[in-house]
Amino acid sequence: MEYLATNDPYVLWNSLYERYGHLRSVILPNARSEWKPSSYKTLSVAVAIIVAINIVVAMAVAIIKVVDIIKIIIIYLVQQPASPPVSHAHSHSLLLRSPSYSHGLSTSHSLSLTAVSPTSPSFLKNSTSASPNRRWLRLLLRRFPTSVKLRPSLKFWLKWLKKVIKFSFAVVKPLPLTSLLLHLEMGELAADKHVKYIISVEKKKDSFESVVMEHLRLNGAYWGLTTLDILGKLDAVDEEDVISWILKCQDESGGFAGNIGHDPHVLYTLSAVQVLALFDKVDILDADKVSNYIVGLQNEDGSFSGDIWGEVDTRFSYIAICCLSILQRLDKINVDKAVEYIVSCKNLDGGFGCTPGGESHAGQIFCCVGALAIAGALHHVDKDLLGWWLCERQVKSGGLNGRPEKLPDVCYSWWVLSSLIMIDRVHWINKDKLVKFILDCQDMENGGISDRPDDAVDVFHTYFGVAGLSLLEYPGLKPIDPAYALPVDVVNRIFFSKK
Amino acid sequence: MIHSKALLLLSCDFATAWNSRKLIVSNKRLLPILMDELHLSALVLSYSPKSEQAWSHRRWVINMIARNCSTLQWIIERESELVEKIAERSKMNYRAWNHRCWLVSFMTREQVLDELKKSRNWSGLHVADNSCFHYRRRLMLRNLEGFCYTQDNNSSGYFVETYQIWKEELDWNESLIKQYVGREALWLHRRFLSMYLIKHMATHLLAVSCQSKPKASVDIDIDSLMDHELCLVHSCSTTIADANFEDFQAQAIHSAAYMLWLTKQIPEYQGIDIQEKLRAGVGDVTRMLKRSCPDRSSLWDYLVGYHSEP
Repeated sequence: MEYLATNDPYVLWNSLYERYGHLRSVILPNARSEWKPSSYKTLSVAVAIIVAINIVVAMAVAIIKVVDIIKIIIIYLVQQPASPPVSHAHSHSLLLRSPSYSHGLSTSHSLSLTAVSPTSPSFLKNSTSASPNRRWLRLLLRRFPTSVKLRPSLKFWLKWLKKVIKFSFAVVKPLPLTSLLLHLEMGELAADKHVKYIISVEKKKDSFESVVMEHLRLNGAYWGLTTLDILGKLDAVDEEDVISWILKCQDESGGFAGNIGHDPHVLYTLSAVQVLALFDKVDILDADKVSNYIVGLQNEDGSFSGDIWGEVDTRFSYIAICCLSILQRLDKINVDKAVEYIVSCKNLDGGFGCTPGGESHAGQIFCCVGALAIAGALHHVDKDLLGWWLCERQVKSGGLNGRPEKLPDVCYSWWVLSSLIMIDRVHWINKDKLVKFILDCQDMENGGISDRPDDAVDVFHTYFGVAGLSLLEYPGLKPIDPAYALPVDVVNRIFFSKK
Repeated sequence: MIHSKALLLLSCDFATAWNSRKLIVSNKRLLPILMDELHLSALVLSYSPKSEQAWSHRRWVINMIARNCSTLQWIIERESELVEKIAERSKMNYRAWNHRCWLVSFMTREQVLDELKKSRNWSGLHVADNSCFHYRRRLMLRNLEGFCYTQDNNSSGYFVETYQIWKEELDWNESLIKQYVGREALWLHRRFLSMYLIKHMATHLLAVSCQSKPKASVDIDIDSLMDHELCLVHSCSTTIADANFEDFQAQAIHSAAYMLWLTKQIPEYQGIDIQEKLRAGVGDVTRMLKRSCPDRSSLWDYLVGYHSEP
């Protein structure tokens, strides 16, 4: 300010020059010397502190994740005592099938197995928990770019530190098994509760529900016992008791009825044969008698009636083919005609109805596709079209419905899913969401699974829920065959140990 | 009989009871007794409309009546009405509608056309019921079958009428789609209608026009049909105005899926310009589908991949 007051330019020039000289010679070096050591000091201290915090946090996260992995491994091992890895058994059975089945399945199934990656539950996508860590790391590293004009030694040190940080985070990068963490968060399968529920249903023969369902008790036996087998607890029931009761249900015509003294029908015949297969006692049956009963129900156009009263449905075709295949008497019926009839029930949307021209229904589709698979005639199915129809069954909540515009239901998680697996299009649905939907339908207090979350439970839906989870390779469950609806080891036992 | 009646009223799926009734009735085979059976099963169905055994009993009884008596047409009409009443109360009852479709195989051509007219109003009020649209499809297919068998002088008249019916159905379906936003059943019906029109009617036209003079009004122009469909798809997919209302989003998804369906169903010999138009639209459609329906992204990829390899 004082410079403005001076009028004389020479005086002004001198004073300014003096001031400049003073600044240049005194103040500047002073400032430089003051700044240099402190800048390096604070910078290095700051970097050291932040990097130390980084490493500590990374180590902590790593320790937490390792502990969790150990926990999961322990749970995994405890739930599955002696059986081989889940998916391996699944693949073994599906590739080494009897000629008729493998003809239809071998090529397509090898593809499906790679899609479902046997080593880890690949349906659980790589967790998104990795990205926030990485982003933070990137931001952190960006704050200290190595292009800053620092002393060379500091530059080198900083670069090396960055490498260390990156390495520590790389070690902690989510491994495939940590995706199981996600599945733990989803909720668990209350397997013990379900076992208790099924056993209680089996014991209660006098309650109102069991009396009303008396005529289909044999079907109920199949649902309950197969669920127990998948959960690995088939020994919880008295085998002799069950088998003697089943044999009493057999009628003189060779077919089985729903309960003692009722009329025979193919539905119960199949359930009886399946339950005996679970206990590996199929040979106590007179296979010819049973197969003659079924053979007598085939009509001229290749369709099958349910019983002597003549009702025709593609479900009965599936039952006949499946039952005779288990009894190893498939040559007794006219398989080509049967296949022809099933193909005549194909609709324009690729699905199958219960009779020619009937509406496509997921249950009927399962029966038709299963029958064609067992008979080795899957080439008749338009897999893309049917796969499209089937994957449209998945609704927003993740569950599957049976027909367009219907509510999701757990039983369709079996029928739609097994059909998709048989035609090798299961990657077209979102499996995570389906698993979550099934687990939501459990009754965690009393056991059992209902058709929708928060509904009443029953054995039917418990079976389909557990079977669906088994198809989705949920850990701790035995693998199940999608066409025969029996555990894979049971099917293998039938086809590979008797020959 | 009394015992079985009591049993059935308690537990309607008790097959043994139904079978014992069938056994007794099959010894007598008189119309009043058979009508009695129909009454009983109607009663059972009134409180448990999904009872499989009851429906199969009705079919058995009708088969018995068909063998012996001649009042079949009247009975079929009554059955149809009964199914409609039951369907009113229990939506998308598979067994009930299956029964009605089974009845179609007994109907004459006049009855089929009559049924189409009568069920139209009902279907218009129940647009979320996929089964009733499937019933209409069954009726229309039956009509078409009838045409295939009558290859005589009346065939061109028959054909015109059939074509009119299909065209009317398409227009009616379009009006419903615009009115009731986002209903899957309507779009599925449209898929069937347009596919059949393009694939089968075009070939029939060629066959018919060789025999008689082609009438100007029955000029099936595939190009204009496809243009019309594409316009409809565009108008529906651009109305994703409100993300809160699932209807609009559903409408867009369904119209996009419909377009992918069309691209797969068009036979190869159709004009190249149609293919070009379709291909142009497919890119945007798949992007939109992937955004709104990411669960099925592998399906969309597969369909588009298939489409681009001619």
